[in-house]
Amino acid sequence: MLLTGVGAGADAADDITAAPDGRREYRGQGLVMSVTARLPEQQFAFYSARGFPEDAVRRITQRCFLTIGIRNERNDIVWLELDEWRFLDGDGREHKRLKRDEWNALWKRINLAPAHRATFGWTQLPERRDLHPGESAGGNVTLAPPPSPFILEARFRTGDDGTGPVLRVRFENLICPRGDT
Amino acid sequence: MTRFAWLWLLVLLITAPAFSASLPKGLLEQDGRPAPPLRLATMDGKTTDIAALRGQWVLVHFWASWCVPCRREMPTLQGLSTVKPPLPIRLILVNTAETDDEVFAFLNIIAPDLDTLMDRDGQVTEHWQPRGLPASFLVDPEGRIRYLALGGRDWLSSGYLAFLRSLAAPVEPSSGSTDPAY
Repeated sequence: MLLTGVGAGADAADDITAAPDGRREYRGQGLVMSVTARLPEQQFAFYSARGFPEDAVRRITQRCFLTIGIRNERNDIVWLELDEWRFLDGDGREHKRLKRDEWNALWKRINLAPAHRATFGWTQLPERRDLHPGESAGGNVTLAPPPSPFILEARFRTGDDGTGPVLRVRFENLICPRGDT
Repeated sequence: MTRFAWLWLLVLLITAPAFSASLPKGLLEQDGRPAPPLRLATMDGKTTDIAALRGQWVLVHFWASWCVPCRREMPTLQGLSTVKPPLPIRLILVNTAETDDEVFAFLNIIAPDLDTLMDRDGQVTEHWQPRGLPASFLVDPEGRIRYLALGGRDWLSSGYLAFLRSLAAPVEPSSGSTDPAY
């Protein structure tokens, strides 16, 4: 099964709705998925308000933060596996997601306090997890800001062993404002 | 099948644990692994050690002020303390890696009757491995994790209250308990 949602502003048959705050929401296939591209100012406000040091906040605001919400409204398990997601620009070039290990290595290098590492970690979307019926997951997915509008193609396996129908959701025309470089 | 056999079957069905077949939505049965250590203090320095709470069911709830579902769930946890007759559980809140100011600002508005343990560096939370925040574990009187509640539950809903009542009978709190909840 392949169902494709398109970006806000497309035809009325869209599966994706857009809110004034920039949040896009997809509903279909028993899945609710939202994407919000954060402004560098929002990233700055969140982490600096929690006492993150300036160096860490600067590095955070240089990255594209997509706040993702997912809710499994199906009767079977949905697999959240970020390695199955693709970020593609208009020329079809893939932009790599920054993995949790890469952030952890950076925090180790700049000696970020354990409490801040923990907070940062819990604000990230899990990289791999099963979502039970009725379960939600939320958090940030990060990447270097693509220079132009880009597409998020998310793929979800389903079922206890992942052999159920594959769900695909596509968000187009995502824009990540560039932070201070 | 004889009349006796039918009668026994009926008795077995009636006496089976009420929730063995269907748990309230959002509650997952766990494998009974031993609960990880948990010995933390409140902002006021009162210490709770989960090892000292053996003999009773304990609801361990991990949370953070920035998490949106926590804002919805916390008042329902606070409401558990007003349920009559009292529920056979002890509630322990664990804040993950926040400061006194952040926690105070949140609890004072959202659930002023609750107190929380402070996992200041987030390491205890890490050991418990919640699926996300918020997360709640139900630990049995033997100190084993029996259930996991997916984040954002309404603990005052009829399904959850009935389930909590079905747990072991109330146990008198041990003397000198420093449990910050109820």
